[in-house]
Amino acid sequence: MRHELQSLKYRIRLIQLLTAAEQAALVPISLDKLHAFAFLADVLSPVWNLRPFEDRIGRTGKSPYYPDLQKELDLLVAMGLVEPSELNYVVDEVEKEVRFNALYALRFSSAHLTKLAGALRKDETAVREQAFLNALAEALASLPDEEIAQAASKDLVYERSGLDNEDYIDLDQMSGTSRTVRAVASFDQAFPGSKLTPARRLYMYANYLGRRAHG
Amino acid sequence: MNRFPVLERLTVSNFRMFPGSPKSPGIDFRFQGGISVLAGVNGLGKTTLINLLFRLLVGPFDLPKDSASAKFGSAAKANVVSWPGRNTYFPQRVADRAQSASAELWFKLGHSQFSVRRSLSTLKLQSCTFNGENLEISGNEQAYRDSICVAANAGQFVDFLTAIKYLTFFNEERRDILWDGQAQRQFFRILFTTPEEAREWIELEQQISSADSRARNMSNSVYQLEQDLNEGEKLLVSNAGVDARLSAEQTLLDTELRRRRELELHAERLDEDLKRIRRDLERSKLNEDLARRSVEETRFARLGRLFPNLTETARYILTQLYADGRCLACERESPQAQQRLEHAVESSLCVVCGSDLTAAQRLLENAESEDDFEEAIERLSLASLQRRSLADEERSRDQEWQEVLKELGDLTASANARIKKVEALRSQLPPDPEDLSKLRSSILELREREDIEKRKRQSAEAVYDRLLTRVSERIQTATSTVSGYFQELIGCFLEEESKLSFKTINDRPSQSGRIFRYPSLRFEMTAAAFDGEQIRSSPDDVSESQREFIDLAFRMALAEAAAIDGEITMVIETPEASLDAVYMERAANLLCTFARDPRSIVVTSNLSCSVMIPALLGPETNDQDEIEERRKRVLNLLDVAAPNAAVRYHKRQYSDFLEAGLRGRRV
Repeated sequence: MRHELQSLKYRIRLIQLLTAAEQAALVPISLDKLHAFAFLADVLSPVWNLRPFEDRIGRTGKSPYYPDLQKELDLLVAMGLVEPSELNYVVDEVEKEVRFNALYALRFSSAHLTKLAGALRKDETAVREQAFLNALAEALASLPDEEIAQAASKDLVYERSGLDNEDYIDLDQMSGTSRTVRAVASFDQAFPGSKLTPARRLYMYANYLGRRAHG
Repeated sequence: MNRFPVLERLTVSNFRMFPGSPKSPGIDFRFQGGISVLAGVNGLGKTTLINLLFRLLVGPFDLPKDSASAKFGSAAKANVVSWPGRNTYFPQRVADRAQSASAELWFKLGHSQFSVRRSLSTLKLQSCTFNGENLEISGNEQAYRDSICVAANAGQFVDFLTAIKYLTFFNEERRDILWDGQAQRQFFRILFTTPEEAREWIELEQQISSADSRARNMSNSVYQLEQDLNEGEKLLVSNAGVDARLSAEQTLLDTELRRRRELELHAERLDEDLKRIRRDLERSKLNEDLARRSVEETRFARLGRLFPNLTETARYILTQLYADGRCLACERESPQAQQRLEHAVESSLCVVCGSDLTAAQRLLENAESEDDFEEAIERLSLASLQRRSLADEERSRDQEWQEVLKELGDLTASANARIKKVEALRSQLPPDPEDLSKLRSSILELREREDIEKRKRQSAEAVYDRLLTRVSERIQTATSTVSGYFQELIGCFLEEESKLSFKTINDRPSQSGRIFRYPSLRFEMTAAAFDGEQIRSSPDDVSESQREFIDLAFRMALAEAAAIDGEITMVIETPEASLDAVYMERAANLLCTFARDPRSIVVTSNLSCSVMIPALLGPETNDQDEIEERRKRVLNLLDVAAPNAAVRYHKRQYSDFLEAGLRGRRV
C-alpha cells in the first residue's frame, strides 16, 4: 500500500514536471534535463515556501538522476500518459554500463491524463506546486541552449565541496537553509530597497547557474 | 568666654584694592570708642574690609560648613577646619595676586594687647605680639590661638571662632541665633560657663553622641543577625524532612541524567548509522537502475529483432510490460503473465497472438549470449534485493531514531522539572546547626558590646547631667540679664511691645539617649491682630527687616551680658539695606545705644541714604572741632580705595554727600 501511494505521488510529480516543461516550451524534454529540473525543483522549493518532493538524492558525478522517478516515468509511458521519442540504449564498454536516452512529453490525447489534470487543478497544494514548477521551468528555459542538466550539476548543494563531500544529499537535514537557499536570499541584499518576487529570484538563480556552467 | 576683641588700629599695605594716596599709602585707620564708619559706595571694598578684619583676628580657620542645614550643629560637632578661601579670597581681588600685600590689626582682649600682621596672599602670620612680646609663629598658629583663648577666657579656639563669627561680626554670613535652640545653647555654653566647663560640655556631648552612634550601629547589626537566626530556627523545625526528600530527588535526577547521556550517545551512533545506510541506499538505487537498464537493453534489442515493424515506443512499452512483473493495465503483480511473455519471446512466438516467428530465431541466435542475459537478470535481482534490504534497514533505524528522540525529549523535560525541584528543596534546607550556634554567639557578643556602649553613654550622660545642673542656674541668671539688655535695645528699634521669656526645653544630645532640659529664651511681641504678647517661635513670624534687627539686638544683649568688663567691638555690615527712613533712624538709635563706652561699633555705610550717617555721628553742627572729631571716626573709602567708574565720574557728589553727613545734615 505504501509502495503504491509512493508510486502514485511520483507519477503526479512527473505529470506536474512535464506540464511545466510544456508551458515553458521545453518539451520534448530529454531524460537528463527532466531529472535536473526535478532536482532544482526540490532544492529551490523553500523559495516558494514548499517542502522538497524528494529529500534525498545520490551524487552520481554526472547531472542529478532519480532512479525511482525514472522507473515511474517508464510506467507512465507504458500507461500511455507520456509519449517518448528518440529512444536509444547506448552500451558504454568502458564504464560497463548501459545508458538510456529518450525525449518525453505528455500525451494530451490520453483521456486518463485529461481526467488526472482536471483533478490536480482542484487541489490547492497541487495548484501551488504547479505555479512554482511553471515559474522554475520559465526560469530554466532562459538558460543558453537550455543547458539545464549542466546548470543543475553546478548547483551549490549538488556540487561537491569541502564542506559537503558526502555521496548523497539530504535536504531534510538542511532545514530549508541550504547553500542554494542562502544564495537566493542574498539577492535581496544585492538589490536593497527593491522587493524581489520569488519568481524573479528563481530567474536570477537560474541565470547564476548558467554563468557558473559556462564559466 | 567673657572677653571680646576691641579693635584699635588697622593698617593695610601694598594691597591694590586700597592704594590710599601718595601722601598716605594704603590704609592706616584708628578705631574710635563708640561708632566708627567704613564709608563707600558699592564696589569700593566694604565687604572685603569687613572680612579682612575678621581674618586678621581668626586667621585661616573656619567652622565646618554644613550646607544641608541653616541651623547650628550640636556641641558634639564643634570643630575647627582650614578655611577653603585662604589662598584665593584676597589674591583674586587684585591683579598682582596680593603677592606683597599685608595687613595688621591692633586689638585689646581685656587687659591683653595684641598685634597681628598677616600676608594677604596666604593669610599666614608675619608677626604677632601679645602684650608686646613676639609670639612663636607656626603653621597651625598654636601660640597665637592659645594666647587668644587665655586672654578671652575661652575654653578652646573653636569657641572663640564661633563667638567672633556670629556674635562680634554681623555680616553677610549671619544666621539666626534667637530662633535656633541649638545656637542659643551653644552661645550660653560659650559665654556663661567657665572655659573648663565649656570644654567639658563639648567632650561629654561627643562621648554621648559617639557611644550612642556605636550602640545604634550594633543594635542594627544584632537585629539583622536575629532575623537570620529566627529564619534559620524556623527552617530547622519546619523542614526537618527536606534532607531525605532532597536525597531521593537527587538520586532520581542522577538516574535521569545518566539515562539521558546514554540516549545521547545512542542517538549519535544511530545518526552515524543512518547516514551510512542512506548513502548505501542511494548508491543501491543507482546500481539497481543500471542493472535494470542492462536487462531492458537486451529485451529491447530482442523485441526489435522479433518485431522489426514495431515502433520504438511500442517496443519500449513491451519491454516495460514484461520487465516489471506487474500488469500495466490493472497494476497488479502478475508473475505468470511475465513468465508467459518471457517464454513467448524466448520461443520466437508473438507476445500478443502466439504465432510462430521462427524465421526471426536466427537473428536471436547471433545476438547476445543467453548467459550474459541471465547474468544481467541475476545482477538486477541482487541489486533489487540489496536495495530492499537497505530500505528496510533504513526504515527500522529511522523508527528507532525517532523513538530515541522522543524519549530524549521526555527525559529532558522531566530532568529540567526535577532540577527545579531539587533547587527549591536545597533552598529549604535547614542551616547547619553549627552555623546557627556561631550566629547566636555573635549576637550575644554584639549585645554585650552594645550594652558596653550604652553604659558608656549613660555614664557620660550622668556626668553631663551633673554639668548641666551645675551651670543651669548660672545660665538662667545670665539669661535674665540678657533679657534686660535685650528689652532696652529692642525698645530703641521696635514700636511694638516685646520681650524675651525664659523657658526650659527638652532635647537630647544624641539620637536615642536620655532627654535633658536646656535653658532657652523665647521672643514675644505684640501684634496688631492680637491682644497681648504672642510667642514668635519662628523667624517667619516677624517681618524681614524686624527679624534682622531683633536678632542683632539679641546678639548685642548676649555680648553685653557676657563681656566681663563690658568692652567689645561689634562689626556690622550695612544695616540700613532693608529699612525705610523712620526705621533707619531707629536702627541708628539701636546701634548708638549699644555703642556706649566701653562698647564700640564698626559699621559700614554705602552712602545711599542721607539719614544713617548723621543719625550715627550726631546732630547738625558747624563746630569745626566736632566735625574733625567725626571725620576721625570715618574711614573714607572714596579716598583710600581703588576708584571704580562710579567714583571716577561722581566722586565730587559722593564726597559732598559724606561731608554733609559729617556735618549732621540730611540732604
